[in-house]
Amino acid sequence: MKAYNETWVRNRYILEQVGRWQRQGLLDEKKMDQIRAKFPVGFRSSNGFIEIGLFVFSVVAISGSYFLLATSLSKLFGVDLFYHFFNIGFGIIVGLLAGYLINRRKYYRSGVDNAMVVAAVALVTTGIIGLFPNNLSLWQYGCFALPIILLGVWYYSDLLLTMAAFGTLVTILFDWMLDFQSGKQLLPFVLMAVSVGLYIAARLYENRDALLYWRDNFILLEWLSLSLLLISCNYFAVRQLNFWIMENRPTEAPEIAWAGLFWTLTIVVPVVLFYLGHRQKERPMLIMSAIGWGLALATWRYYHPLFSLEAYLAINGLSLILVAVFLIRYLRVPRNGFTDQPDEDSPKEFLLNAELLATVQTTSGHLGPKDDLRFGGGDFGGGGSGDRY
Amino acid sequence: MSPKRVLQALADQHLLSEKQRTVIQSVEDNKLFSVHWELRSLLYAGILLFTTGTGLLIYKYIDRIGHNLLILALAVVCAACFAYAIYFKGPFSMGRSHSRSSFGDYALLLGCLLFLTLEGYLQYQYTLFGTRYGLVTFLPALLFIALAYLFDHRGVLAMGLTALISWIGVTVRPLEFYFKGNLKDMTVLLSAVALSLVLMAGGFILDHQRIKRHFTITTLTFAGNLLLVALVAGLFNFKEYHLAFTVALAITCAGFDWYARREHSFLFILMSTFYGYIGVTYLVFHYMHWHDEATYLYWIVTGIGITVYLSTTSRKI
Repeated sequence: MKAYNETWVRNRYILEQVGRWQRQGLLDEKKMDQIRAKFPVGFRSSNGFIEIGLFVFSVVAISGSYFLLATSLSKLFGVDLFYHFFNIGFGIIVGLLAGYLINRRKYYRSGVDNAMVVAAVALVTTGIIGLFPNNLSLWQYGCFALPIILLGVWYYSDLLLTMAAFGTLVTILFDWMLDFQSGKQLLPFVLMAVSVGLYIAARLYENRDALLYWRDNFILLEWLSLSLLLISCNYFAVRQLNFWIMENRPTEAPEIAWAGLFWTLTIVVPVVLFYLGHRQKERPMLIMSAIGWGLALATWRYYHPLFSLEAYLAINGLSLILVAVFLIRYLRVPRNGFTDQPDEDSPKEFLLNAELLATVQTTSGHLGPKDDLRFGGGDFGGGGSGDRY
Repeated sequence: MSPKRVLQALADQHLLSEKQRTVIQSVEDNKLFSVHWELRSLLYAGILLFTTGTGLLIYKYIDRIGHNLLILALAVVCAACFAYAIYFKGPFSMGRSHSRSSFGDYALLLGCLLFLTLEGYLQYQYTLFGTRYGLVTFLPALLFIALAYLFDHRGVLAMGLTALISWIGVTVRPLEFYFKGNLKDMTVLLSAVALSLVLMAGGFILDHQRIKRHFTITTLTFAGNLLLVALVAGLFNFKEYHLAFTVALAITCAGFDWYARREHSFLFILMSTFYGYIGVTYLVFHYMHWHDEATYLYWIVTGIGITVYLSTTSRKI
C-alpha cells in the first residue's frame, strides 16, 4: 500500500519509453492510442512552473495554519510534552489531508502534495525527536529521525524526502565518528565507503521492476552518493574539515595526516569514475567525473598556484573549449558507442535555460564591475543601492 | 524499468507484432550513447570561464609588458570568431535558422563576450566614448540584438537585452534571483517601465509579423520581469503614488494572466501570480495593522486560494 497508485506509476514509465519510440518513428499514432488505452495514467498532469508556484503557496498555507493553531494553543505549551504531541498531531493531520488530496485530485508530484508530504514528515519527526531527553547527541537524534524519514520515502517516494534522508545519514555518520578518538581520521574513509556502497546499491535496484515506484529516488541517490564521494576524497575538503573540527584553531588549516593519499584520491577518483562511466555508459558517472576533474584542478591551484586566478580561468577556459571542440569533431562519427548526435534522453530544455541564465549572468558581470572604476557616475550602475527581490 | 521489460509488457498485451518488437529491440540494442548536450555544456562552460578570465586579466596587468599583446590577441580572436560565425551563417529566415557549422553559434557567443570585454577596456583605458557612458552599454545592446536576429541566437538576444536593461541602470543577476538598480530613483524606475513597455510592444509587433516568433518568449520574460520588478519597487519606495502603482501592477498582472491563457504559457501565469501576490501582501500589511492571528489567517486563505487558482488555471491552459 503506497500513497500513489502504483499501476499508474508503472504505466507512466511505460508511456514515457513508448513516447520515445514514437518520436523516433518506430510506432505510429494509432498504435500509441491503443497503448495509451491499455496503460492508462490517471494522474493529473502539470507543469514545472506551476508546480513551483503550487509548492510555495502550499507551504504558505500550511505555515499559516500551523502558526495559527500554535498561537491559539500557546498557553498549553508550557508543558513541553503537549507541544511535541501538537507537532505530531498536526503532522499526521497534514499527512491525512495529503492522502485525501492525492486520491481525490490525482496529484502526483504536483507541488501541493510535495509540500504537504515534506511538512507532514518534518513535523512528525520533530515531534517524536522532542519526546526524547534533551541531552542526547546529534547523531542519536538523527538515528531516531532517519527511520521516520525513510518510512516517508517508502510510502511517498518523494525526492525531497530522499535528499533529507541522505542528509540525515551523513549527519549521523559525521557526528558519531567525531565522538571517538580515531573517528576523525577515519571519517573521510567511512564517508567514501558509504557513498560507494549507496551508489552500488542504487545501481543494482534502479531497474528492478518491483522497485519501479522508487526509480527516481534511486537515480537521485546515485547523484547524491557520487557527489559525497567526490567531496569526501578531496584533499581541500578533508583539510578544511579537519580544520573546522579542531578545538584550538591555528590561523591556517594545518597539513593533514595521509596527505599524499588524499592528493592521490583527489586525482584518481575522477579518473576511475571516467573510466567506469565510459565503460558502462553511465551519465551520472561521466558528468561527476568531469566535475571531479574541475574540483581536483581547483584544489591543486589553491595549494600550488603558478599563476593568478584570472590566468587560470582563462587557460582552463581555453583548454575546455579546445577539448570540447576536439571531442565534438571526434564524435561526428560514432566511436565506442558514443555519439555527438542529440537524442531523447538529454535534458535539452533544462540545459538551454541554464545556459541562457549563465550567459546573462556573465554579460552583466562584464557590464558591471568596471563601472565603479571610471564611469560609474550618476546615470548608470547606480552604485548598488537598490533593493533585492 | 528497462526498455526490454517495456517491450515485454507491450507484447503481453498483444500490442506489438513480433516484427515490430524485433525492430524496436534491435534499435535499442544498437542505441548509441549521446553526449551531445554534455559536450555543448563543456564548450559553454569553457567560453564563460575564458571570457571571465580574460576580462579580469586585462585589468590586472594593465601596466606590464605583454599587455598590449594580450589585447591584440583578444581582438584577433574576437574578429576570428565573428568571421567564423559569418562564414558559416545559415541563410536568414523569419523562422528558425541554423549555422552550417556546429560551432557557429558558439563562435558568435564567444565573439560577443570578447567584444564586450574589449569595448569596456577601450573606454576604461582611452575613454573612447568620452563621458557619454550610456553608449558603452547601448552600443553593444543594439549590436547584440541585431546579431541575434541575423544569426538566430537566443543567447546573444539575452545578452543584448541584458545590456539594454543595464543601459537604463538596472543590473540583471538571474543566478542570484535579483535585479539590482537604483529603483528608489524615480527616473530609473520610469525608464525601466518605459523600456519594458517598448520591448514588449516590439516583441508583440515582431511576433505578429511572424518574425522570429521563438524569440517572443525570451523578450517578454525579460521585459515582463523588468516591468513587474519596477512596479513592485514603485509600490515599496513611493508611498505617495501607491494608487498609481497598484493600478499599474494590477493591469500588468491581469495582462500577463490573459496572455498566458492565450499562449498556453505557464511561466507567465507564475510571474503574474508571484509579483501580484507580493504587491497585494505588501499593501495589506502596509495599511492594515493586524495582530498575529489575522496574519496567519491571511496566509491560510491566500495560500489555499492561490493554490486552487493555479491548479484550476493550469488545467484550463
